[in-house]
Amino acid sequence: MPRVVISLDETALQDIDETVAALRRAGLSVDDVLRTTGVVTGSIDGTRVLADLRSVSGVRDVEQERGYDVGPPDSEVQ
Amino acid sequence: MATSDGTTGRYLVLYEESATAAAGVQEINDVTGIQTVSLDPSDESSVVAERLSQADGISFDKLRVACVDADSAQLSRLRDAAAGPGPIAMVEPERIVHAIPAAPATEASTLDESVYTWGLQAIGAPGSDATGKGIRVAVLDTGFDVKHPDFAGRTVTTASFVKDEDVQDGHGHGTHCIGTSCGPRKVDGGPGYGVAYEAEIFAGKVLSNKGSGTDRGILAGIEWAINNDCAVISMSLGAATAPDTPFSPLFEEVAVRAMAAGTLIIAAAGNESDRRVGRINPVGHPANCPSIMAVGATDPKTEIAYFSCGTVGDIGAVDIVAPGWDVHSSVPMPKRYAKMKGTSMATPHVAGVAAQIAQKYGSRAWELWARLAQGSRRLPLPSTDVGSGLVQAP
Repeated sequence: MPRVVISLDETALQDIDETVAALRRAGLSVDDVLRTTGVVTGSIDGTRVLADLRSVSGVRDVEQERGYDVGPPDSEVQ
Repeated sequence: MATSDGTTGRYLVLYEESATAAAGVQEINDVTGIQTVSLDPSDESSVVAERLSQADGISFDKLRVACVDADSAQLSRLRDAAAGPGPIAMVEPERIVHAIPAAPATEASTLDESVYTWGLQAIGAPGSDATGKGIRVAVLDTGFDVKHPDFAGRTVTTASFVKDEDVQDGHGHGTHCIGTSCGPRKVDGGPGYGVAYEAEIFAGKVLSNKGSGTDRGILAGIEWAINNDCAVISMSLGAATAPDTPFSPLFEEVAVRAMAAGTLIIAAAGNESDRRVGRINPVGHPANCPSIMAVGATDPKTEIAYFSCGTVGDIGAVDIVAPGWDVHSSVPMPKRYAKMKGTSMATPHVAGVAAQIAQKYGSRAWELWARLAQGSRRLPLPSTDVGSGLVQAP
């Protein structure tokens, strides 16, 4: 299940639930709806659906989720 | 063709682990038309040298890497191929490498840290009357040691965005960063080490006790900080990037919206350089976004730290620098204190000064950014390494 982060258009923030519902119909399993920044996070079934998410009205960007690592506590440089 | 940024103008194409070298060679040809010559280990070195100078591409089949002369259109198609499924995993500029110079002799420390850390002294914190009082600073990191005695009586708000972990810092990184940005100036048995020592602390845990996290947690942490009216978000975290990789449009938009809400995001430039061998790596994600302030690290001689990422190409710029070498700050009990180095340690120095400026001038967002840049101490070092210079308390 590829994990994605999605930003919504400024204009879509008014009726954000409608856009989130459309994202669900396009195959997104929603984790978080961040209403202030206009971001939706979740996962999709297969990479092919990415384009489907991009075509949902109100969607600005769809990006694959990245990982971060500051290293173990004893690493030389943090 | 050597370029000024330490690369050769050629590109290295890495094959996927699961693909054969032949498939990689075929894919390069399919997308760019470039014919690569495979090198055989039994070839005479003179033959190898001749082929390297004449061919458009060489495939090092054993290494599963090709080196190609690609123009910008071919490069773009290679990058598309790397981004999609298929035998090409990664494309990056070929670098010029240098012999490792002898390590400089270690000097005995002449730093006087009897009252304040060298970092506080370098940014002029002891001479400033600003304390950060009334300003909310969010530190998105590995959490916080909520029972640390140095923070008794302080206003601390916490939240964890890491699954199955509470905010208690099981790593040390987060408590260290909070100590530098917002820790105390007067401590029993050690130097004062906190910049904005009366700021309100918002400790958001977005990295696990092992030090790892994802976009999801970081975005949730940013949202939480904005909703709590934090003027400053300090993020000592990042993911390494390859030169000329576009910044994330999503994080840039989030940063723009944060700015509109009065929240400045300050992030570590990254530690991927090794200047001891002449390697300068670009600013990592998300510090490479134009609306996020990227912080590099200096050492006590006010030289750029060997690991500090630099401005490479057109994407991602170092905006400012701060002390990031052997920084003394808080870590979870019972250890209480530790010295750490990294752009992670430089970032909270800038966040603390940002809180001081926000208190002193009422500045937020872009005005805060402008005052941080304008107030920084200019350094006789490339702006590509240090941006506007060494951050200074107001």
